[in-house]
Amino acid sequence: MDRTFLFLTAVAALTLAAPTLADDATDTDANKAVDDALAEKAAPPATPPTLPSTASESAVNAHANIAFGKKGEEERIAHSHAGQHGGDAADDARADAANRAAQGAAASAAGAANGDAHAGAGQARAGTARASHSP
Amino acid sequence: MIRAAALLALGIATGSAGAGEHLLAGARLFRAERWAEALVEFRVAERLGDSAARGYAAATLVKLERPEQAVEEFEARGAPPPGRDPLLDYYRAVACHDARLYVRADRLLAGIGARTGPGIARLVADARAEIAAMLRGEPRRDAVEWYVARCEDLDRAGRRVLARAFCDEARGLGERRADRYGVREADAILAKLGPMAGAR
Repeated sequence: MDRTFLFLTAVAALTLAAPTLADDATDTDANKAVDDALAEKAAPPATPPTLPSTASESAVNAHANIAFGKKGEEERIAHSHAGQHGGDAADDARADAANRAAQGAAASAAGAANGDAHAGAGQARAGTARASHSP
Repeated sequence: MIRAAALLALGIATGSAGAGEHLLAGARLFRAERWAEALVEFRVAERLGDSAARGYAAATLVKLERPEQAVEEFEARGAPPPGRDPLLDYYRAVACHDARLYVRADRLLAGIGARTGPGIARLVADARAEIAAMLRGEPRRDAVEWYVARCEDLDRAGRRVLARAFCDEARGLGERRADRYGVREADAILAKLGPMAGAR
């Protein structure tokens, strides 16, 4: 009986300690993994530096309107596939959903992000379109 | 007894998913250039209590071409301060650059110095050279006016962190002019805005 009790106590102690130890190790590895990814994907700024001016802004806005018109079309197409709207509120909503799911299964986060990925793809295409309209 | 031990062992193996798992997922997605999904993973990690995740989310916003939002994220309370992580400082500088906050970007890039590897150091040097070339000579008055107007617009919109950044930029540009055009006006708005929570 004593041996059984000792065994169960040891296993219980391991149960309490293991997640903490594992989390610490995982967090260190995870931070390094993110740092590596950030270093690998570091790129120069998207556009060369140009000081704006009140005079040039009307021309820039005209280009932006053209690009946003194009972007709007791209995003409408992306959203028709995704059935969801991208942006901050959507990020937060999906993060909430993923957070809840994380209590049981982390996998749902990727699924929740699917719509945003479509929106992101639309945004990337719009970026390309915008670049092609730049002077 | 064996059954109890087996159940406990199963408990160890299936312990609740921690922030680290979401950071790892975010890193994998970031590497795959699936920025929107990476952002969600970093947001989840942040909500699970990882203190570094906010900076990673901000860096991802740079990739999503949302530089103003990235600047706000980098400068919010709880974000890693400049100087702690040169890699995040680089992303923060790019966010400022893409938001047209060039004086601020250059200040961040200057602070990175030799604390990074050769790849980032080259990017830093190139970006600084471009900014220096653009800022050669006095900035035009209408450029200073543009930043002051943007600052006022953002203040009216309640985006005070960003408003402050644009007024700081107007001030920085005005100080490069012999007549310090716009400095007094920017200072007046900055005084009204007051110190920010994550003020740097």
